[in-house]
Amino acid sequence: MQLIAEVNTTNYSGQNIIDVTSIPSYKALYIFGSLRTQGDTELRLYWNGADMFSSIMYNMSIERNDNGNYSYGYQQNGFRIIANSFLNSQYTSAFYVEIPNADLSSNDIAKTILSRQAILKNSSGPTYILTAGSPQSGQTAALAQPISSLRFYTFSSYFSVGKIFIYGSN
Amino acid sequence: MQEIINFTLSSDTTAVTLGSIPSTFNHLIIYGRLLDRSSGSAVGVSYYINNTVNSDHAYSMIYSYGQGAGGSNNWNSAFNDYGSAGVGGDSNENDTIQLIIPCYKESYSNEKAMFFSFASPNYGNTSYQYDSSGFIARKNLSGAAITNITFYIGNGYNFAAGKTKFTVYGV
Repeated sequence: MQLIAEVNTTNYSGQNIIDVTSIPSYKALYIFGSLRTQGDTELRLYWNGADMFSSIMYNMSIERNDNGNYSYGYQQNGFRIIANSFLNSQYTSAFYVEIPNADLSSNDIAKTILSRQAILKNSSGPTYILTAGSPQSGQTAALAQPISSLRFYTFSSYFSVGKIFIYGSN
Repeated sequence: MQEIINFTLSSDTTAVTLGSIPSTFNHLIIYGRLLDRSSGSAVGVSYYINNTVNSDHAYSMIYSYGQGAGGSNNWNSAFNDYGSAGVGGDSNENDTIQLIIPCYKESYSNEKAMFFSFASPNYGNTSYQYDSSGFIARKNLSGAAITNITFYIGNGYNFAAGKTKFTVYGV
């Protein structure tokens, strides 16, 4: 597992996009992170310069939160790393993302992502979410290429303190 | 990924502490194989970090168990408890755990969030449980790095010597 990039999100305070470019081709990518944001938001992931407002990713999630128990299928722009505005300024949420087949270039095989997050929204306990996702409609030629760039995007607020680590493995 | 601790239990005990974890890595990944002395009963296995065994830990978990159409699933409530728990298999079956702790040493994080997965054969070899839990320790760490992790078993039972193994990796 080789370190590709270490991002200090504090350096992106007040911004809502972090781009990591020039990622070498690896069979698998692993992303570890823990961070806070300036306000309530969710964190999304894109790759290879995908148009954030036209490339639709399909996202299957199973999650539990303090308001009830549910699971669902989900469709949106970008892969949702941390969902439902559970990122905020009070508590540090963590995530772990696996992207197998990151080096595939076939149009027939969409990249599939597995993600786990542990999130503390309030004082009563954590929220735990499992997600899996892959591009579905709107898959472009760029998305079908080996992953060479990643974009982290906070949907409705801005980055604050935290770190994101990206590793590659063959 | 580098091995930090490779531990095999030498005598039966109710708790195992994996200590002296250095702050020279960025993340921790822990694998365990557990065998208990519960004489056929399913028992709870939990863990806590940095010697804090009180309500400074909280967790929620998603789990399922059973086999085939007879299985069930649950989205459990959030708990304030010692740590993330799984129901261990009986004394004939080995359980497997995985614990992933991103950014375990970062001082900006008072609450360390981590992910605990648990696969447990159970109930006379005919079914299994898969238990995947999110876990957050909070309030007590005050940004300190995680230096030790204790796994323990409930109801007065013991982990089995020679059959209980843990490996801690640093990333």
